[in-house]
Amino acid sequence: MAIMSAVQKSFDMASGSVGLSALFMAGLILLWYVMREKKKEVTGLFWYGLVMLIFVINPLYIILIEKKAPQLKVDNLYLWLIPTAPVLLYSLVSTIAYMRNNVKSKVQKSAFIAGLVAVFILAITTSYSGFSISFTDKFSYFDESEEQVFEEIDKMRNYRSLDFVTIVGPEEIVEDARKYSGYFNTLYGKEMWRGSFDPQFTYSYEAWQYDLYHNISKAHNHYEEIAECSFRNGCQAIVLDRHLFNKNGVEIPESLANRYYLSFENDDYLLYLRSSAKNEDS
Amino acid sequence: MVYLAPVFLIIISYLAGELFCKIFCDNTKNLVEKCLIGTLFVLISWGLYVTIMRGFTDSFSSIAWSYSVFLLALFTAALLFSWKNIKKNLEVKNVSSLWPVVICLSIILVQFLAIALVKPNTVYDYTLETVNTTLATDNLFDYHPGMGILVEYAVSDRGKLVTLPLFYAYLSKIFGGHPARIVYMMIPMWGILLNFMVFGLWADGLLEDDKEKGSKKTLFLVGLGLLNIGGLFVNESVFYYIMEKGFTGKSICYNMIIPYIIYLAHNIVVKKRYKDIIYLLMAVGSTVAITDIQTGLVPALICLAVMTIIALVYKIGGMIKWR
Repeated sequence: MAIMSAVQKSFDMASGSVGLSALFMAGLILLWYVMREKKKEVTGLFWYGLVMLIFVINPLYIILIEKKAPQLKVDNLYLWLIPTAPVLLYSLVSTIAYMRNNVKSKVQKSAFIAGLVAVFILAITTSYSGFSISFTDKFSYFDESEEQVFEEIDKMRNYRSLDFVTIVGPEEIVEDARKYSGYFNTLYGKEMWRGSFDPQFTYSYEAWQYDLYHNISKAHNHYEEIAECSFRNGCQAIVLDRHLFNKNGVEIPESLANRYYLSFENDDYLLYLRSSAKNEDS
Repeated sequence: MVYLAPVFLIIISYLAGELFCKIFCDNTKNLVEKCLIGTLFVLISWGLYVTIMRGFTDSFSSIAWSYSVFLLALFTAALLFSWKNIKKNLEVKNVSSLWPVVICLSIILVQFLAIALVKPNTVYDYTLETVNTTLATDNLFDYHPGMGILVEYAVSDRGKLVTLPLFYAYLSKIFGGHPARIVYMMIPMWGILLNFMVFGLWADGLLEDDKEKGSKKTLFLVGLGLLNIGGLFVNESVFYYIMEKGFTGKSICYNMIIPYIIYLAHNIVVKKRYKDIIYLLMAVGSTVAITDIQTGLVPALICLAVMTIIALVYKIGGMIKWR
């Protein structure tokens, strides 16, 4: 049963949805029919599609992957070797051509086209697990609050003529800091919670980094420890989640352990800069 | 300037492809196929160049500068030796109607707009981090992309073969602007153009003897555009990857290189175009430079193995029939 469930899941993943998989199967049948009508051009596509389908969704392949190379299941990109796009597209072209040659009434043609559109939308919407799409904010890839914080940090970096600035903050800040600028270093990377960037290698973090990461998620209770740890490790900027303080009714501190002072705040984040920066700024 | 990146890539690829075909005396390739061959050549040449040069220097800017000299030499050689061919390829011949071109360009523009408006999925991706790290440190592989610090062992030897993020860093250096614009917008747009080129060749092959080839090919490509746009909502499919992760090596591999490998294998086996073996080897080799071996080279080899088995079965079947 587990194998059959894996086969079914693989088939869903091969096209990305139940609907597209079903259309692909229908397309293969259509290709077989067209091949019988002696159109040799589709022979290669038909046999490649059929062989690849049988190769990647047969139970033996799944058993072998489970036993010999379980890490291949992480991506399952072999499933994309199934030629979903050309089979679907050739089927669409053949179907429309058939309609043009054999359906004479305009009403019937409109109904035919409407039916094709409905099938396409149904196929797309039967996604097996959907993430919702998010839109860029004025073509920017960074959240507005985060971008404001990064701009302040960059201003500080330029003012103090620093080559690099070390930052610590919540997950989303650490993830986007490295995307915003290569001059922003972090005390820990997103691979701590997202996984390694190199499949052959995993970076080992130290205990203090894990402690710091956990303290940041409860910053309203641990901001003194965060400041001490960050100061010891040469951090110039600390970003805390404002909502943690608001939700727990904790007053927002003006400084952290007299090492960092509150330099900038917006609706989502509090930016603390290292105290030596304050003296130089004033 | 950064918005010209896809155009620059297409032009450089075309010139490289033109020169390549001239060197191998191959007159069978049209403009689209020369662009694809040139793209493979650019990816492989960058990968080989970085791999060789990192034995001599760790400085990214010196490698980028010298590669620019190489590209300029290529550009000049292509113009000098293939000018007549270039003129011939760029001539507009016997166009009965511009509607197919307008329709295809419209669907491409809708995809471009979707790429520009929708945030890419970067959850498990480190491409932009690697680009930023390379540009900020001027170093190839010694800095950890997740933290930006110098570490003893940042990238594995197998990981150092993947030079695609460094190619994006090179493009960012040329065009300026924020690297996110290159990585998350321009490269996916370039990927869409390559995807359309490859499936345009597929359409030419599947509809070869068809009377209404022009209109059917337009419908084929429009359908491809609709599948890609629909892919925004079909998570973890190849269509999703081209729209929301078009900058990854996996996306380029599965949306351009592997379909092109199948096309070339078909040409070699069925149409007996044995010169295409060179391009096939280039296509397979380029998968090493753009993504990990597990997600690029191995699937490409599986694909080739299946095509070979099918060809052998047909040949043996034909021999048995003849007897």
